[in-house]
Amino acid sequence: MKIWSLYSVLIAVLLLLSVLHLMTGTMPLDWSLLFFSDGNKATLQQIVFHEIRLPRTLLAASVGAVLGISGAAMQGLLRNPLAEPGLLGVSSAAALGAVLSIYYGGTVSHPVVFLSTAILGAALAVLLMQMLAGRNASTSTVILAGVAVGAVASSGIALALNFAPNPYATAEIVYWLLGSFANRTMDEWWLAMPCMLFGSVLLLSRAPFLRALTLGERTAQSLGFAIGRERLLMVLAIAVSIGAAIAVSGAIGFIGLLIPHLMRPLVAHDPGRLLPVSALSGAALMVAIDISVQVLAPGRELKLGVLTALLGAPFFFYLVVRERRALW
Amino acid sequence: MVKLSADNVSVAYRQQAVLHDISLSVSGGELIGLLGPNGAGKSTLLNTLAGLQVFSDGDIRLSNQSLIDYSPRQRARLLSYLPQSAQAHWPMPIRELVRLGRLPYRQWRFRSEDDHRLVEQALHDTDLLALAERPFTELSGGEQMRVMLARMLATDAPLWLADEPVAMLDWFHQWQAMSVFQRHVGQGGAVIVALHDINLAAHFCTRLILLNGGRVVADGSVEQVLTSERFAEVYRMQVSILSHPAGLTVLPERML
Repeated sequence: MKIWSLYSVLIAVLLLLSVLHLMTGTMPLDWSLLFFSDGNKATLQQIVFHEIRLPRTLLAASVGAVLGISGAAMQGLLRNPLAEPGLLGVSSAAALGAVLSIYYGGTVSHPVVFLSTAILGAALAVLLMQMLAGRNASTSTVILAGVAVGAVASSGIALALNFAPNPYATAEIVYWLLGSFANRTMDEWWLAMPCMLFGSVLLLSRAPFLRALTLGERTAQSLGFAIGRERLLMVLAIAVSIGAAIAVSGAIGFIGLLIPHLMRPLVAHDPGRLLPVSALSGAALMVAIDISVQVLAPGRELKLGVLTALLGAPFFFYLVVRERRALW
Repeated sequence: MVKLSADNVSVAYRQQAVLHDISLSVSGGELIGLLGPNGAGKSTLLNTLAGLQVFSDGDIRLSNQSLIDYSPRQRARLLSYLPQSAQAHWPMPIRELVRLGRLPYRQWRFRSEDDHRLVEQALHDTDLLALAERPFTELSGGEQMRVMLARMLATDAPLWLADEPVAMLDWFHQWQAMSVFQRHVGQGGAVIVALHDINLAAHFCTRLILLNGGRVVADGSVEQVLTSERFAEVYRMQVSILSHPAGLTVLPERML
């Protein structure tokens, strides 16, 4: 029963923040004009709402959900509270894929190309990580492999910046990397949403496996899980959803680390239940952060990735210190 | 009645043979103690019998079907396995961890009468009812071991393979665990348990298998397996074997 009240609170908070988010921006929204009347004023309101506000809110919520659930899934899969797509090179590789597409096509390249290269980047990163780590890799090997993959991806991004065809491309790449939901269209959301949804549902369906993994891989195997297949499915799901999220938002770190951590005590550390809870709270946090970047520096927006890093890095420090205390 | 048999099974890690031509079988009603010095291959053997280790030669059959032909789920319902020094990676409450033993049957909803009864029974059999709400990390090493044992009991499979499940337990709980195994065997189940405590094995087991250097060196009743010559050869210990009304007792005298 407790879990349902947690769900209701999270959903209520998410809805409330989403409404606030819809109302945030340079032009004040008048709900009565928006829904109940016609005329020029109303048309302007409707355009702002449908073309600017709504896609931004939907993107912030769905990307936040994906970052939260992928972080929770990765921590469960690696049984390590410090695991996160950003830290294990998956996000960097997705970003590299997207950057290459900016690099070669600029803004003229079709969003589908952009999305596919990001997903491809993420998938390659995870596959490379698995290959490097080997079939029955220990957690630490997987993390090492992830760090190595991340280093390769970062150097690729640096290389693309170094040889950018013109200063505009460089600026575009840099700004994109910092992460933002500004100036996105409904089309981008419709494009990314199916991938994010597919990945998230696939991750949710693996909850019993994550629960079994609490007891270690051998025990999970003895409880009837085909470990190789389960792991491959999860990796695929993480790559597809993270790739799509990164493609529409840019690289946003630390949400996947922070959210599962904050939520874990509320679900009695159950790695399966943590998935939906992290999705909801990740969405709420992302929406809240996107409100604050607009409010803190109106006009000259603070980039999302900057704010999440400013919030996330001290939290990461705290985690490392706490882990150290718990272990030694 | 459950029956597991291995026929000339060999296992190698990186071309290094760990088990050589192991042949053995266990059927319902047997509580088998798996003995042997460190590195004898006890854990590898249990892993292999549980279907978790690739073996190079031979065949393992579970109830007249090759073990590798079972789906993981089917196998998990017939055979439950407790690895050595098992751990929980998240500080979940004890009862939740024990419930994981029901995963081979129900992955989403934990509702049926059976599930509840078996979990509560497992908690009772391992003396954990009072600790059931506590997080795993707050327990002592021995208590944690009992949680893992309870998780295996909750699966309620006919065949149990346990790798040193009592190594960290106090005297009372060692006996409690062995009594649960005995009761399971009495109800037609089968158990193979790796043990280091020879006297505990002698007291409870219906049969002993002694491993050394990856080979079965003895397989038979307690009296057949535990002889002073074998202790000298396998354990490098000189012992006295004493007969006592409560069972056979091995008294170590000196190292050889």
